[in-house]
Amino acid sequence: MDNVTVIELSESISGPFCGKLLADMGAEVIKVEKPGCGDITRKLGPFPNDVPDPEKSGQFIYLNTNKKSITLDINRVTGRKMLKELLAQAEMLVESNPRLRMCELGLDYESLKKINPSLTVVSITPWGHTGPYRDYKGYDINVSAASTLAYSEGSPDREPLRLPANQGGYYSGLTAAAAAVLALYLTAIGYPAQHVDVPETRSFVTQLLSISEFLTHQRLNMRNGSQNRAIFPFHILPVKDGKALFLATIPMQWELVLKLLGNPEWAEDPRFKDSYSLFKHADELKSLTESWRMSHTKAEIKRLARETGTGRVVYPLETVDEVMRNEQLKHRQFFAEIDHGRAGKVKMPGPPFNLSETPCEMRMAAPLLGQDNVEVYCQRLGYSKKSLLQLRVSGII
Amino acid sequence: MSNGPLEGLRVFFIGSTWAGPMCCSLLSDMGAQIIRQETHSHPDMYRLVQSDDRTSVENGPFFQVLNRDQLSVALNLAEPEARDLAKRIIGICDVMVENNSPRLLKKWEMDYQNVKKINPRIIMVSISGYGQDGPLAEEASYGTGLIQASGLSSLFGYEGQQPLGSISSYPDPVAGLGAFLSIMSALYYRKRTGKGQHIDISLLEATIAMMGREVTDYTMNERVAGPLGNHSPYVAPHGFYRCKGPDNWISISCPTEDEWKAFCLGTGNPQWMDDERFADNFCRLNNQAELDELITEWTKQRTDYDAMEALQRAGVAAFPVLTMAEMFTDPHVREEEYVTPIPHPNNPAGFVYNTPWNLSDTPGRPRRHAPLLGEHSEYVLCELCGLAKDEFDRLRAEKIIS
Repeated sequence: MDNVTVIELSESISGPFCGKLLADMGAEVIKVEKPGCGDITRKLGPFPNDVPDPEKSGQFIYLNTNKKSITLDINRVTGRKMLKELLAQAEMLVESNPRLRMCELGLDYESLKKINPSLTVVSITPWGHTGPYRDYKGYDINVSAASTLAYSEGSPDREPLRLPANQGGYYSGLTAAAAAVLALYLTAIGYPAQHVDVPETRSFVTQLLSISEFLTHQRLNMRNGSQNRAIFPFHILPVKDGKALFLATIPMQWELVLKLLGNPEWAEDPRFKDSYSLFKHADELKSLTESWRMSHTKAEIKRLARETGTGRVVYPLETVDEVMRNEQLKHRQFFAEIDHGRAGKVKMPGPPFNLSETPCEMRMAAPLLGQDNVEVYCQRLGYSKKSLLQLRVSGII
Repeated sequence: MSNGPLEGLRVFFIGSTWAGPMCCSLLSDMGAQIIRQETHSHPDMYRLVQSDDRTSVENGPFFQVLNRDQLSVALNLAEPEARDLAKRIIGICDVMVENNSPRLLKKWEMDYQNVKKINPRIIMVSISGYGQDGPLAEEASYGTGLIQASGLSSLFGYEGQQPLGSISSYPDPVAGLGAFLSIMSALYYRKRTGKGQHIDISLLEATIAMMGREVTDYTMNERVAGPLGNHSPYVAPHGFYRCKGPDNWISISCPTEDEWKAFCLGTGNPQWMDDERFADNFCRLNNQAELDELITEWTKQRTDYDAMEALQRAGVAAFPVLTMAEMFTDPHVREEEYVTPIPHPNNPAGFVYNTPWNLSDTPGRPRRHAPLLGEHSEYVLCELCGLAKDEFDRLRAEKIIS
């Protein structure tokens, strides 16, 4: 997609992650940041040795690899004028600003369409541009709550748990990227450029596999503290040095679990023959498996699973350091190191998808704030260096 | 009347469960035709899981949600003649999606090298837990297991406690979205160059790619992330607060001083603005327990929706921790049709998730129920692939089309 220029008018997670995936796919992504402080994730870290530095924020560096950065205050008349000049030459805008604010600024879709009819506009907001909640406020925790996924996480005797690790932003950002590339492909096959409205809460519908079952059986999504409400074993249970998921929802899987456990005699009992009704004996099975579990470490379980061919039914609960040491990921060279001018060598997840002809590459480290002002404003838009100085002094860039 | 902007795009799916079908559901919502291979001897696990009557393969609720609009061709790929028919289907498709063992696919001569010979322009997507190469390339896996392997599960838990973990199959739709995104990118490239390609999607890698903060905190500081509960390390108030009812909660977040002010006024507590314990974000972060108690005093007197409305009116980000029952009655969800009814012969009250995005000119939507196993064998093989009817009958009698 190297013939595509994307203007990213977005901060935090979902818009930037969408932009990052487009950049991974080869698009030129120009990130528009507020003069002075830039994207909020520059402030949030993590930082090497916990020393805050807007050019060393790990999450910012990860999310904004392969992008250019310009500073621009779109609240200023000249700022908006310059943005429109940029948009006139671009294929796509990715923005995650409140709908009403974009209207106030004259940057709503209808207005932008007049400037550039071939501009695809991707708007990411908590509840979208239509519907009763369209102008409601919502941050990651609210999106998590609205997804219905949070309600089933956590212990039944206390509050539910939101999705950790900014997943409200990441998952909707991924959805937005999918919609963005779809819209781009459609322009390539003759459809007009469109407004792509991606409500963050709507993006989570693709996680709702159990809706059909819920309606027909009226089974409420319940919190069971990591235990499936109807099936054993489908549990995260303690093992010697941590926890592991044991999984047997169908007979084939239950046979594998038993094989892993060394085909214990107690499994001959008719009570445990039918994997579909094991949940009736969940407590007994917990105690019957206890001595085996508490005498095996996560590493031992992994090894044993490999040896017995039962890896698909047991999964140790890995912590981030264990993930970094994963042999499979090492073989795949999944983690990539990029040399970032200010932050030094930063190791991070590599591009998530592998395309044989158009591989995703880490071409450029995340940009310093406004590092591409000269290239974009002078070379591309024809502003003089003197104008740039004036704009800087005026706080517009 | 068009089915959608991708009408004319033809996809062949050989696989099962969640990620592959989910990718296909996004394609079919936009009008693409999905031909999926199935077989009576090894039906998709989702045709059976959570089914009330496992003597039939037509009652699986997960299957019905994911595989709407698909055409099902029964082909017993253990049989060479069935594989020949599969290759004929490959010949007429633009995209092939699969989630099988690489070794098996190679044995069947349906790995990318062979598929490329049949159809050089094809875009083939291989979805797996761990990727197409490496020590675990042949290891079968499930999303619920891969969330453990990714480290994401270890982040579920209450502040200061050991991880509780999650059994969510979250990585599956992550990979499905990634596959769809990659297909679109490859189609864009193919339109420009005429070239197809092979796409390798690993559920594990796609999930870890969504953990930028945790990975960099480890690589920069050797800090192993753990559960944070619902508090934010940066702002307060931030969390889930109990509302009226046996198990109802509301999510609230006030990341700016303006929103804190709005919150005080919106809850009828202007005195909180003068309370030095809560004077600014730093104070609030350090007096979070007391603040949370005071907030709970307010929220527990109201239903989650009433609290939400009062707070949103005041300009505060608040929303119920939605239960599935609430989702179905939520006015926004209903008006915006986040989910939509698609009656299935064995489930007339069936609902499926709707297209997750809104395109202004070419919206997508699900239209038809998931197929019965082998429902479209004759249509696909005879009408689309040109197989003679008597040949079709013979192959079916011999359980090759089965």
